Amino acid sequence: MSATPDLKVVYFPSCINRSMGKNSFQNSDDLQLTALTHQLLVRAGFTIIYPENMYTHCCGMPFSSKGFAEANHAQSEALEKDLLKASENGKYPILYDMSPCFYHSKEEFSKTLKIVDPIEFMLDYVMPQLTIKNKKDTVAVFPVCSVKKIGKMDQLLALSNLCADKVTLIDSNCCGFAGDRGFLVPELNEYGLRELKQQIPANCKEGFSTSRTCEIGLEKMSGIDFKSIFYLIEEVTR
Amino acid sequence: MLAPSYQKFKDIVSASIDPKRILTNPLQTLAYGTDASFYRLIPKIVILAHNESEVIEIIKQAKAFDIALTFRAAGTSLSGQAITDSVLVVATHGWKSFELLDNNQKIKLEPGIIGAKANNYLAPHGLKIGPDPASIGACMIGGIVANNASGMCCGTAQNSYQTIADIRIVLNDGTILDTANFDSVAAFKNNKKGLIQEIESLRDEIKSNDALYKRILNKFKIKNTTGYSINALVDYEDPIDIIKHLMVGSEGTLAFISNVTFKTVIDEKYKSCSLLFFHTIQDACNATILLKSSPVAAVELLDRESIRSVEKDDDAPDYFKTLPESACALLVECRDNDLAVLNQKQETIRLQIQSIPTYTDYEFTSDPKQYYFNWKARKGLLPTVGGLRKNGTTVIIEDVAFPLPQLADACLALKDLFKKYEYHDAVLFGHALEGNLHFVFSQDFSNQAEVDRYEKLMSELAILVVDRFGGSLKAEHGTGRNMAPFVEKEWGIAAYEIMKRIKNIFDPNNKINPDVIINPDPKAHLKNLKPLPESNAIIDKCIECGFCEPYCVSEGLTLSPRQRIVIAREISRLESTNDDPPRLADIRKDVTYQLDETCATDGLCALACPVHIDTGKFVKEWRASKLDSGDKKVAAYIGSHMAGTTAILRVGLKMVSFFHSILGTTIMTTLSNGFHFISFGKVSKWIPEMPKGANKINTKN
Repeated sequence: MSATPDLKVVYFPSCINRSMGKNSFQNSDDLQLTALTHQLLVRAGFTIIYPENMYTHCCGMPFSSKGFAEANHAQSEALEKDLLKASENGKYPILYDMSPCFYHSKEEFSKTLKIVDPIEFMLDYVMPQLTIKNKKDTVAVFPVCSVKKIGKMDQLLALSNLCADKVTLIDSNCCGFAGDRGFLVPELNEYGLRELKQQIPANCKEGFSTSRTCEIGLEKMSGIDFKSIFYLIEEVTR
Repeated sequence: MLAPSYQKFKDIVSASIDPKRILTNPLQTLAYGTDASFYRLIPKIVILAHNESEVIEIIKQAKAFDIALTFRAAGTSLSGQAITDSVLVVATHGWKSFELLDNNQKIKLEPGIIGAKANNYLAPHGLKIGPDPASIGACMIGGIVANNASGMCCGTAQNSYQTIADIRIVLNDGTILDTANFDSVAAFKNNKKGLIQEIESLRDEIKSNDALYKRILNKFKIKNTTGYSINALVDYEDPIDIIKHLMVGSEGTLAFISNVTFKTVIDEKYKSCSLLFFHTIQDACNATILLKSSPVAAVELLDRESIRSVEKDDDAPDYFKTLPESACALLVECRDNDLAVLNQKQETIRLQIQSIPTYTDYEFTSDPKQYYFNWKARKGLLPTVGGLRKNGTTVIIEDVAFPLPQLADACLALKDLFKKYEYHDAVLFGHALEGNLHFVFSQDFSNQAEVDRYEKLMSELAILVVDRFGGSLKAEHGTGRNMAPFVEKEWGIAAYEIMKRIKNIFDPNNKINPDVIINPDPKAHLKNLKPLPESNAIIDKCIECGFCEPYCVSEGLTLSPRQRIVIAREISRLESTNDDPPRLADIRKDVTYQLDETCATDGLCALACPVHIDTGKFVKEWRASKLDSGDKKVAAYIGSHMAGTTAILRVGLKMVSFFHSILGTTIMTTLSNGFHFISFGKVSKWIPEMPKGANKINTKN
């Protein structure tokens, strides 16, 4: 599909996805998430606008979580400014590739930019442009906290059901990875996901989510691969 | 320092219970010692028991050392029945097993299962448990049974007392009675002949006292949780049946409950509701009397002040604001498994009350948005009072019941009482169909004048409810410490003596949750009041209800949101009063890990909180307050050099990945370089699932 002039999107790759590459379980010919997202958007007919100074931007959440309120606001304001410009004052939707970053910006931004969370963007903007060619048998899906907070559980399930015959929606509180907390206080993640393994059916080998750091802990605690739901969409529509 | 008997008790139970689950430090004993009531006692020891054999050991050793025990599950109780200054046994984690029995007609549940979870297990079969307390998302089976909790739909027909099929209990000497097990019952009858005889003689005495017999039958026609469920002694003949039903509503004062089997009830597929406005409370109450004999599932009353709490809502109709002061609403719920029957029911209801004029026309709705709004009007009452109250005050929910014909007069009398004692923020609402009214108001306990005001209100309330209207002082919230001084007042001396004998039969040494239900102190309800000092604007409105706990990742590992707030408040109190510096130092010692480091700040707690407190946001502020200017400079530097830091991280992760492929799964300090940015200088623990570094993004379309 070729790009149409109307189908433009501002893609803001999160700082986590800009720095963390492929997972250890991924093959060498797999794409890292930012490249995969780019390819998927192009395939869906979108022209991608990257914000100016992209490499300097972060939603501010890592600062906020640690109590650095001022650094958070500085980051968020700078991001908002460049997103405003990139989207031509809100003319184009802005795609976030992680739910927590989306939620954070939604809480922080003062202007009414059309920022879109990964689930809604895929369900409402991308899927209508693509055809499902090879639906998966069974997948596990983890709703991260920000998905619950924005009330997008049903949409996550709907999106997943488009891509697989059987979807296991993991029933859990916060996974406890909480950005980098999983590295610093690993027992919180282990405790948070203590009932994860028993929820995953024996024949389910792949799990999907919308937050990179959560996925690290999910992989560790489930024993199956966990990655962005963008991979699932890319694969079933390929 | 523990007293010698407690120390010995602790040493001995530590041999069979993981010492990590035996808590004595001031932070954790305070955190676990807190329930949703406005009373405060701090346990000397908290034991997080994981199974029945641990509980038996605890009970036996406590008996040997003459130590009092209190059992609790979720700690959502409101009347001070789950607190102690002795040993608190928490039965939550480890008590989650359930079993569907008899083709789903019954469900066996352990005490640590949240009520809503039990309903999740039953939902695929179109069934649920009978009791439906408003706290069902947080309260647990142990407490639901021990308090004979009910709710808006279950009334007196489907409460724990009516729907209990079997129970397994541990008595104060470690004896087990499992009423579902033939051998257990036979052994119990054989070993506990004296106890059985005493129960039988209580039963026979009541039977031979016609006035008392009739009084008991009559009083339990409406909801009643004041004192013990002595209706068990008139409703049942068999002593095992009597014991089983006495345990319901016993508030942990007779035995430990290991599991309960409920008869399940139908969860109707189709639901509709309507908000009906009447010109006066009398009209609303008269309509309720008529509705009692119509096919309604629930009738909830909301007074004018209650409606005011939702009139600013976007979905609220404009006329909410202009309703006359005398107006009163009924929220009428209708349910059925058949849509056609549901519609018929709605029409029957309409015909039933057509003689009473309503303020506006009304329609039943199943539209999710309208249905939700109508119930929000009802459920928003506690948050409104809770959210508007002055900091430092608590929110009190009273829970009384009246015979239905008296409801209108009782409502007006209650409103006069609020006026008389200047409780201007009081709102009146409740389960009208059952004559069960709640009233919510804010109360300051920080000075004697306010405590005196509360005392006067309670004394006069007892006269109003008991002498004037023949009602119940507690309908579904349990007696606890709050109503213990009034049990005799409500029941009279003969019934109260029966209750004291029940306590004595099961707990002659008064060591199983003492001072609850039976308490000789006429001022017990005014003692051990919980301080609620100002601490931080984000958390000051917390009412410590515990609704957040099931949604917290660290609950059970360290602290829940409620417990974090309890600790923060205690620190603020100790800092401002300076009355116990060593205690403050002890709490501070553990607070960083317990309160701060193990909070994921995910904010899911706010979704469950009736006053929308995001404890995660509070913890972020806590973190900010611990930072020095050097930390902030580092953060600002990192922020203004994001391109550099993400680049370092990319390279760092690549290095880690490279070394990992050579060295295998070992701790790699190189990682600390890579994660310097998101961890701000702390050395991350390396895990094999750490991703590889990313490549730079190709931005060309």
